[in-house]
Amino acid sequence: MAAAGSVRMRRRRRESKAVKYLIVGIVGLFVIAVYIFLYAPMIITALFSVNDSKIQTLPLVGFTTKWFSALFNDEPMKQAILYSLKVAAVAVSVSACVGLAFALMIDRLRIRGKAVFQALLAAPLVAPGLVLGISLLVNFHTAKIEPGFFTIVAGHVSFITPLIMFIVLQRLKTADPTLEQASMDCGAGPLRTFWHVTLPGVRVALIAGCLLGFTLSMDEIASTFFLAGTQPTLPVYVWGLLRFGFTPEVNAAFTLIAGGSLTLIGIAGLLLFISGRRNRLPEEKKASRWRRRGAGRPSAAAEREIGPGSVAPGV
Amino acid sequence: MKTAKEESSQVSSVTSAPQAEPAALPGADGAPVVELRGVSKTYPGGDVAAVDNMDLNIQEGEFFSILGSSGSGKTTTLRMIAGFEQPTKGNVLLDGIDATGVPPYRRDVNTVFQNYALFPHMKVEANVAYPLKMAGTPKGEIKPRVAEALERVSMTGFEKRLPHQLSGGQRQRVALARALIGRPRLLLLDEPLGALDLKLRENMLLVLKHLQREVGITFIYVTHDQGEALAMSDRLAVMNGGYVEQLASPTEIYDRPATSFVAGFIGKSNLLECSCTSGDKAQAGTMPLVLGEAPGEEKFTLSIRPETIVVGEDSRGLPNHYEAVVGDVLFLGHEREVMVDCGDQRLVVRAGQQIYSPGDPIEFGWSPDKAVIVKATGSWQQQQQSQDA
Repeated sequence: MAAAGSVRMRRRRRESKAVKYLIVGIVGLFVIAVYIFLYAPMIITALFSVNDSKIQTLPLVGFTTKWFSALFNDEPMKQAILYSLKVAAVAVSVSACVGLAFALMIDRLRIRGKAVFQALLAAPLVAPGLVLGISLLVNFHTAKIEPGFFTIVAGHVSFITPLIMFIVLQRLKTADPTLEQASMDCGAGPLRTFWHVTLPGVRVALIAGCLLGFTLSMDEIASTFFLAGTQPTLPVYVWGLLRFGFTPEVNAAFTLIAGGSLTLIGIAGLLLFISGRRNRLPEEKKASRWRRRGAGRPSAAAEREIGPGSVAPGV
Repeated sequence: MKTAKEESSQVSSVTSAPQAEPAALPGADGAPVVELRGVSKTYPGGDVAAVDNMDLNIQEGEFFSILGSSGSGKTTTLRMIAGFEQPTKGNVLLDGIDATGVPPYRRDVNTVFQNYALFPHMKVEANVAYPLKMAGTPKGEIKPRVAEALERVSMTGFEKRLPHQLSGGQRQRVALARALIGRPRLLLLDEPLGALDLKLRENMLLVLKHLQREVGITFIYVTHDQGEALAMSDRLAVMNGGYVEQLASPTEIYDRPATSFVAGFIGKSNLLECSCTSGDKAQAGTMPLVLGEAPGEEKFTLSIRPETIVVGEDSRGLPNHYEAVVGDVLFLGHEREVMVDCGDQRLVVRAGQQIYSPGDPIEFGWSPDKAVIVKATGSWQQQQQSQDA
């Protein structure tokens, strides 16, 4: 009796194990499919960018870097890249200052309706670029401001600022408020406390925010399309190229943008992860693990928006 | 005969009298390092005062402790002295000068925080040098003083470490070095040993006591640990519900507690609700008592420390002598605590090496001067309030 029972039990255990493996297998396949969907276009684009053929069909015929060199010999393309870098640099610098100021204000102010205030600031980050671009264009037009460098920068600042603000704010929320008190206690006034204690505390978050903001600015096309005057940024220029037919040069451009973006996002994520680990005290590990999950949210959103998604349609 | 110096100081105090009281002159003789005058603090949104009408004088070079359970207002008091909180009412005077409203960075006061509050991005040496850097001390002077401060807390050799590479006790020492390096007039310690384990805590108690003797700085030490407060302080204030229940030396607080709260909070005590029968005779339930002095009121509370109660045959000659039955026995390692049921009262006595079991007969007694009449905590506060009104 006992032996029969144990055999039955063993069989049941084996069956439940098989079901478990099946479920794990299905889930695993699903996850792999999602990753293929996200990354395969990018990998194929990258492969074609070094393929020695004008026609984009498999099989690949040979390795070449001529599309990249063609890209860098293309004067308007170089202009567009430089212009994009300039826009991104200025927009990120402005956003860093404003975002930091807003983060400090929201963290420190004890006012009612802070959440509403915060949500209103976040709107440009999640609003469609189309809406942002058109509304800004209408406003600039009414104010008789010609589209050009500063209109693009203004457009980019409006969505990079909340991004930086949220990343810095998350860091401020986990920061130890007694540090600033200790600094004041040691004889430092509010300004020197900010410089020596508050700013170093959010430095890594600020840098990470800037990197993410930089990739956002470099890749942004929807609002930029409306706000750019005669001089296009890199994505706008590449989009223009597409209208006259698909060249492997475009593949090279996409590969560069995707590579650059992913690298910057990777660095930013790493920075946030490391600073989150280092700055917490052992006893608040549990609490901050939850908070850090929150901190990761803006970067994850950014990755979804600008990383694979913006490259995939080009293929 | 007056000396010339005394005369001249008198003259100057006479001439300056119209502008300011002598006590408010900077560095005036005998001016306390810290003085609280009628200080109250109510936090926004709260309807109960965290600190209620507090008066306090702390003298130069004193080791002063504020003892209380959490929510008693002890940390709020400390934060008002440091300048992190402003009193809703009353004044904080530092060195005889009104410092109410003066920000923390303009006060010659340093704090050791409960969580140490070391700057995580700075090395130990930068942390310790921070107050000097902020004070604009010449660079050449900073390095030797940092070395000296670290040596004083036995942390030499840890200069290049970051705070997260130190243990709790080491961080505590660095925080102490940082607080002391600017040679403040006053050092505030907010439960500095709260996060340390027992062995380290005992060690740090000695370090603190030595440091205070060496540097001669006034210390204000906030704690909820009565053992720490009794061991360290020259004087201590026992706080409860925003009030100071008693302010005295540790021995006086222990031997002559003013209120039933103090008697119960510090050490163990038998509190007997008594009513006066005649002169120095009283009755606690069914227990007749002889008092050292006639009580002022008809109903009062009597506090008797367990260790002042004599157990066994030695107690026979004492005016208060009782025979009773042992209720419970607690073995505490170094001694045995015996609960005795005497009439309808239950008392705790210390049995020393004698062994009792529940149900055994026991005799005990105390001399009348060992029993202290204490005020009920509630009536004490009402009395204070009526005095203010």
